[in-house]
Amino acid sequence: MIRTIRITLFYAVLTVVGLFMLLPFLWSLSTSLKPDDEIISLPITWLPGTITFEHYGAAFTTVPFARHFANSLLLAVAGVATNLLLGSLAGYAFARLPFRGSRVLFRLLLASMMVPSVVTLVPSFLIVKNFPLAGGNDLTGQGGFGLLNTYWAVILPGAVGAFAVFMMRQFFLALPRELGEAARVDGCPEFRIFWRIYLPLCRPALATLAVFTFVAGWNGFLWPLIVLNDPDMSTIQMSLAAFSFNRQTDYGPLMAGSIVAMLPTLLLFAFGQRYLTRGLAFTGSGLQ
Amino acid sequence: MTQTLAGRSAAGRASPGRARPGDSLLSRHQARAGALFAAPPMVLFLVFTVLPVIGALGLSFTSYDVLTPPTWAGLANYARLLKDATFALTLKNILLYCAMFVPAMIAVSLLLAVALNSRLPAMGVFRTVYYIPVVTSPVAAATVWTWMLNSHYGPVNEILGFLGIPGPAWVGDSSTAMLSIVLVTLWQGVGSNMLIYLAGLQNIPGHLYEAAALDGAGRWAAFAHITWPQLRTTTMFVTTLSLIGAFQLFDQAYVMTKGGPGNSTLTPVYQIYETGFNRLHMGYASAQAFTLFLVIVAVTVLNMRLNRSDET
Amino acid sequence: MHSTLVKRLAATALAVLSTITTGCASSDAPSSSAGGVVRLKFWGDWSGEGEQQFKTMTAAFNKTHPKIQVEYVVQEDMLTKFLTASTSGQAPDVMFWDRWRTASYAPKGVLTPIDDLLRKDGIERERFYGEALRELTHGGKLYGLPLTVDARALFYNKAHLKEAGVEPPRTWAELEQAAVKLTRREGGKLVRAGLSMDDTGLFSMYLRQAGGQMVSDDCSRTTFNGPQGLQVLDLWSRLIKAGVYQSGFEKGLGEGTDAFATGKVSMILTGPWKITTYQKYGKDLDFGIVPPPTGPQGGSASLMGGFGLVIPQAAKHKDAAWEFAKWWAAEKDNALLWARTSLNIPGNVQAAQDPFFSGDPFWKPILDTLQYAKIRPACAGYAPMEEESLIPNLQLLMEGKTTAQQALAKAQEQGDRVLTENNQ
Repeated sequence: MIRTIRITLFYAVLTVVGLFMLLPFLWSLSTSLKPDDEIISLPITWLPGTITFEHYGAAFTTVPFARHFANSLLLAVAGVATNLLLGSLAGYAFARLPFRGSRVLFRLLLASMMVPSVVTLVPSFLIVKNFPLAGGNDLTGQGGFGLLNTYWAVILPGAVGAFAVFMMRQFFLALPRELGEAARVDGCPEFRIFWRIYLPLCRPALATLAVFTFVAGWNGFLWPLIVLNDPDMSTIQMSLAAFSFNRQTDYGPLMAGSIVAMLPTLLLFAFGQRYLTRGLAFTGSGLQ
Repeated sequence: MTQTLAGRSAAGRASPGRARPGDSLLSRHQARAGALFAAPPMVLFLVFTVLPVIGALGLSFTSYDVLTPPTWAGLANYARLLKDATFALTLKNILLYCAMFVPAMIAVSLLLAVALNSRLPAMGVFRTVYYIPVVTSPVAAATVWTWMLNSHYGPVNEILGFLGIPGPAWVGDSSTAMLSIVLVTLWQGVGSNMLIYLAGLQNIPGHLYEAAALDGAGRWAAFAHITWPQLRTTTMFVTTLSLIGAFQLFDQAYVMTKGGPGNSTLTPVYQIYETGFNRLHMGYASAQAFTLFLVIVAVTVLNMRLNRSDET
Repeated sequence: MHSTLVKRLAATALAVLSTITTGCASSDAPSSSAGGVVRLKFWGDWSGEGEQQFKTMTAAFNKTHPKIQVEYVVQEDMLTKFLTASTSGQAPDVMFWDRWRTASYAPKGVLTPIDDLLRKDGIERERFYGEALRELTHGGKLYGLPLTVDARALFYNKAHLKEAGVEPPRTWAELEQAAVKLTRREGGKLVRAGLSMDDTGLFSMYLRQAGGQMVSDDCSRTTFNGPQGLQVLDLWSRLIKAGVYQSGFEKGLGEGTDAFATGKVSMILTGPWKITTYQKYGKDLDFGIVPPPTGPQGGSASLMGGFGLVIPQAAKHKDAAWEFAKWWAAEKDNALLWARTSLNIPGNVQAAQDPFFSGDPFWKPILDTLQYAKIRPACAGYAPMEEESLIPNLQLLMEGKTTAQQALAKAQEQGDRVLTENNQ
């Protein structure tokens, strides 16, 4: 009896907090379905008087939304792949395989996150532009356009974030040392220990990192804007910015576009969060 | 710093910092493997992250408007900083923000993670719902929240009024604007950290709880003696990142308040952006950025030291 | 170990810096004039519907100019893009330009002066709004042609005014009376503000109505801290005291819940860009527009802004770019086509006098206001001074946290520093 009350109360609190978390999303959804003359109103109306899908049509026709959607998907997926692989490799090395200079490197990694990207933007641009032997550049990085206007200009700088390395390192640190020791004494190569023993135990962390890097890549705006010139290479965030210009905002299509833009991340999340369920990943077996 | 940060592994074993390279054949072998593992990511990192940082550091000693080549300015930018009362104010604002935001972020995200780590049905739905703010369009979020917090028509003050509490003007008042931004950024960011904590919770061996249950430990005792200590490395990660992120607050302050009212929500990165890209003083903006960098380093190191002494 | 790492890093840093300093002249772009046709790159930050409006113009131009083909490329964050592209010598041929930025960009030598071109083609300056040209001028040289002009005017809610029995105000005194009469309170709580006072940046406009001036003519110091400045703040203080407005009233009502569109404020000083928004979203809104009220000594003033076309110094086809800019801005018919397509008053005076605008009850008052509207002081330090020093102090005044004298004195003290530092 008391248990039932407690559980009901638990769900009630979760629901109230959940509603609170959903409010702006619900407003976007409702705005995207309202005709223009209903959009500006006070107090905010949560339910559209008439439901229209015209804004969804507008979102897809005013800008090449589908094309930009695909571009963003490519960039975000590439970011996830590289960050999971390279981030866990480096994170594992920092956590479990200390080498000469690893402490300095790790401090550098942490420190790099503390410099606002606003001021590194211009130097970063110049590095991408003067990347040797790319885009007509010679060995000294002169003469051409480097990686500019290629997807590499977005993929390479984002291939391994300090965030990914730091996060994976922390998770490897939390795993017991002796897991690999036995295998090591047996002469098992380090990469196998990493790949077969430690990495599978990090599935929750990898799932989390996948969601984070996907969101980061998906939301990329300023950097892709600066290094990509071809409008056909634009990302979804640039499409969304298209509904706001000269101090006017076209709320209907903007919100319709935002809702569509949320879908991939939410799908990925709904899938990835299954790895965060007790019992699936780490049951404590083999630890005694 | 590495040692401090690493702390001890979950099993309470030696930290990696203590295993000196060259101790034995085995560790030398490990060191080689470590260098090999880290090499490809670190090359990318050095080229695309460290080099630009060094470039920006160099620019902080120049007069640079982006449009024309920089000219050497020595310490002039840093000298100008000493007289810049606005930048000092932004540092004060951001320290206040961090002091409110970071502890609240840790507490709320941990609480949600522990709650949603339960084996009851439908937890996945709630996790997804709590994560939605992270992916909600920032424009929508800012629009709805500034309205929610409106002094006269906002539902927040209506509810407060119902309870007999006179609501403040929130973003419209210089004394509560920063608090409003704390609330909105918490709302927006708590899903991410909840997720990290959830991942951390999966690494706690179940047998620890079983043993505690056999000893008759209650929920609270289990949290205090197992969950919290086992989440050490996770908490260190969440705290450090929240601090670093909080110090660089920009978007929400830009969208919700434009730094106002009365400069009360003007943040260092906001000012750096203005200086560099709108006023074309990129050299000075870089000097501001590295001053902020030093403040972040100081606070982060302090935080790491404090956390260590806390539990030794 | 440490020292070698440091050395290596220092070397790479120098490499980066040297690429910046040498300006790295980039190779020419793949030939863009193949077959005798010049291909122009035109950058702007208007997207969505704005992009369609621009494309109407480029299509019309391309049709009549087979030798020059203009392509419009949307740049969402055009200035940042322009800045980074400039570091490697890249630039578009023409740019859609928020005119007030001329003061900070022209001195860097990145825009092309067009005085000679103007003279060569016999285009009289009288074709354009003089103030708009002044905003595109720096150091005696003209850097672009105006495309649009706007001016702030008083928008009022007709139903509210009728119900309160007041006429649209023409003077400060009438404004004050009307605002008080229009204000509605319920149980001491403000439910409808007679006049929107959220935008403290309008101080500059009120100050000129009172006969004052924001900065000295050479822009070396602020001049708003004086009797005229106090007159403005006295008016504001009286309005606040009478309960017409409360700081924070419109916060959050700015975007999807616009306070004027939803009838929560009865009068607002704003620009013509709002006309379309109000017509589109204000379902039950019946509004009118009058020129801004005149000051105590009868002074009229409004703030002019708008966009123009500029040709970057690094443009590859300057002559063709000039052809395009001239065709669009200087020729009346094209300027008018643009104006009607985009619903903006054109910078071309003749085109602006077309009945499309002068016969329209919404546009006519804006046209009248444009007769005397003035641009912001054209110096790089002005905008930073306003944002960083003046507006924050006025916001504190609105909250009742400081007095008029203190606010002005503090704004002056900080403002003088910000002004000089950013003028360099």
